[in-house]
Amino acid sequence: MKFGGTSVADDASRNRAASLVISAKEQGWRPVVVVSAIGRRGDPYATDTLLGMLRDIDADVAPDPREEDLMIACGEILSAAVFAQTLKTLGHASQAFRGGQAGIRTDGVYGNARIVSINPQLLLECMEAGSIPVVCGFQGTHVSRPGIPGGELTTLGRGGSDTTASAIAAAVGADMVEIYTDVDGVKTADPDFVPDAPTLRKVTYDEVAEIAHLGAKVVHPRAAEIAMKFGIPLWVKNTFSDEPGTEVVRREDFPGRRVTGVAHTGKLVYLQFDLADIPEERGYAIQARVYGLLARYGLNAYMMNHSRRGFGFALPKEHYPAAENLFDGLVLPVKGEPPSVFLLQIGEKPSKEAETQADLLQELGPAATVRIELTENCSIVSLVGHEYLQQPGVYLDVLETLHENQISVLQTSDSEFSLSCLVPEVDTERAVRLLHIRFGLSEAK
Amino acid sequence: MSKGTIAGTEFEKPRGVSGVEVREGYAQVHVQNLSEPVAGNRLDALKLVSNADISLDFLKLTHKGLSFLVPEALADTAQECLQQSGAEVSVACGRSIVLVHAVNIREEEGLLARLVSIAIGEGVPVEHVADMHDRMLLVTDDASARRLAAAYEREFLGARK
Repeated sequence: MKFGGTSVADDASRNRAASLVISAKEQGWRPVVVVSAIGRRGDPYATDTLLGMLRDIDADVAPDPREEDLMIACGEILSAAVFAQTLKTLGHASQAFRGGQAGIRTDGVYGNARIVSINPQLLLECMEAGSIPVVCGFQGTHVSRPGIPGGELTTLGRGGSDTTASAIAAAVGADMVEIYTDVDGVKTADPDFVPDAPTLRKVTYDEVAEIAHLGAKVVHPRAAEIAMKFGIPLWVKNTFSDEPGTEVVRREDFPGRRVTGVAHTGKLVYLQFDLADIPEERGYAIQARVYGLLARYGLNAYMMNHSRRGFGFALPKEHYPAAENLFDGLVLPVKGEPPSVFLLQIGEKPSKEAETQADLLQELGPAATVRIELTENCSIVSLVGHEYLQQPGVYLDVLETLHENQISVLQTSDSEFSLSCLVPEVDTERAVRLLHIRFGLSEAK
Repeated sequence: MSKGTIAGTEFEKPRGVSGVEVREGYAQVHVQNLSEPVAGNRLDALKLVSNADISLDFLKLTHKGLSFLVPEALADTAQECLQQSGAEVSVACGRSIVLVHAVNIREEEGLLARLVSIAIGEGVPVEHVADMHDRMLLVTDDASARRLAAAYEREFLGARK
């Protein structure tokens, strides 16, 4: 039974979560609890607050990932200790475990570690003694070589507590995993945008993975993947309601539906590199350098498009300052006949950096300017489903719905499980609602 | 909730690229120089394709038109129906999709960009790129697709093979 941040945010929430655990125990189950850090963004013990304590020491000196992991893991440690004590005060013996104590071994990638093995011996002993183990989500231990004392604390990255729950469930041979949150289960759209969005009773692993990939805050795909691999039923439930929740199942166990839902990812920028006046060969060299830089600095690009006239991609807004630093005023020398020196410039007017570089390059002869058109405040709205999306006319329905309602589509992208449109951020909510209506998702089950 | 024990088991798929495959048999349809209003005329073009009962993949909006992928067997039908609209239509047969499998690909920082960078570095003409939760899909011509798949295997799977 995994409880997210809002389920353990205060005494009342924690007591409600604890009552669910106790109820399960009283029904004859032997529950293992996994908890996230207390509260959400901005709360005193939430992950971002703890991280801020390190980063705010000096904004110009970035903490090492190792120390960041040590810091943010404190959130779950506090939460587990408090939850175990809550169970104890309610008359049920309980012990809190760090990820390492629960036997979770990971690889050595701080901030995004993967679980390599689990030895749940201490958890099993705890349960044998009639006690309820409460495990810190989101963390494990990396042992780089046998025989060294202790181990390195690592965190599992986004959705890490869900992953902890599924992995522990597999390790102890659990009958089911229950992920408790503050919504009734997996919904057809963000309920903040579509208040009557129904809760889906069943979703397949692929559906839930794609919804999460496209921005919905549901169970993390890593958790679903582990549950599927070990054949453990996985449920998403609401701590604060008696709704039955959503069951995540294998595709072969569920015939599926035409459209699963509408997901959205906000806060993006779109960069379009104009190569219309650049010789084709040089254009390739510029593209290779740009993507090489994105890769080197760990920036992922979405909604990529390539044509003879240029190329473009979307980036999360939070990554834009890094991209701007990289590309605006960047000088790219390319082997061969002139033009062989290219100056990248974001926007119509050169920034000081781009202007200075252009001046400095004067002595080498004129540099060819590659203009990058910046479109700020974009979001991706995606229709998620399977097979049906490739049927004739579905793409047309999506584009027609948005066009008829004066929502401009800046770019599209699709895969086996989704059709995505890049739209102005201001139109996101409307686009989600319109597609939800167009595809009859209020009737989905 | 527990009843037994499984210890010392591998839980997660390996990080990064776990497989590469090539799917052949596609054609890329380009519709160009649509008159204004381009957005409305794009929809008219898509309507013709839909009425011909053709399903399409990898739709891309271009400067004054659009392009998409269809099974090669339907390329002529697509071209004929679009030509009825008077649009400038061209079809490039012999297209393949290169699929690069990597779980939670967007959480592997820089991996998508690295894959595209390798493709361009290999001189592969990239016609379209898309991604989903566990893979990246790249459209190019058949010969380039095979060459690119080999390059990805060398780069990412060499040690595992």
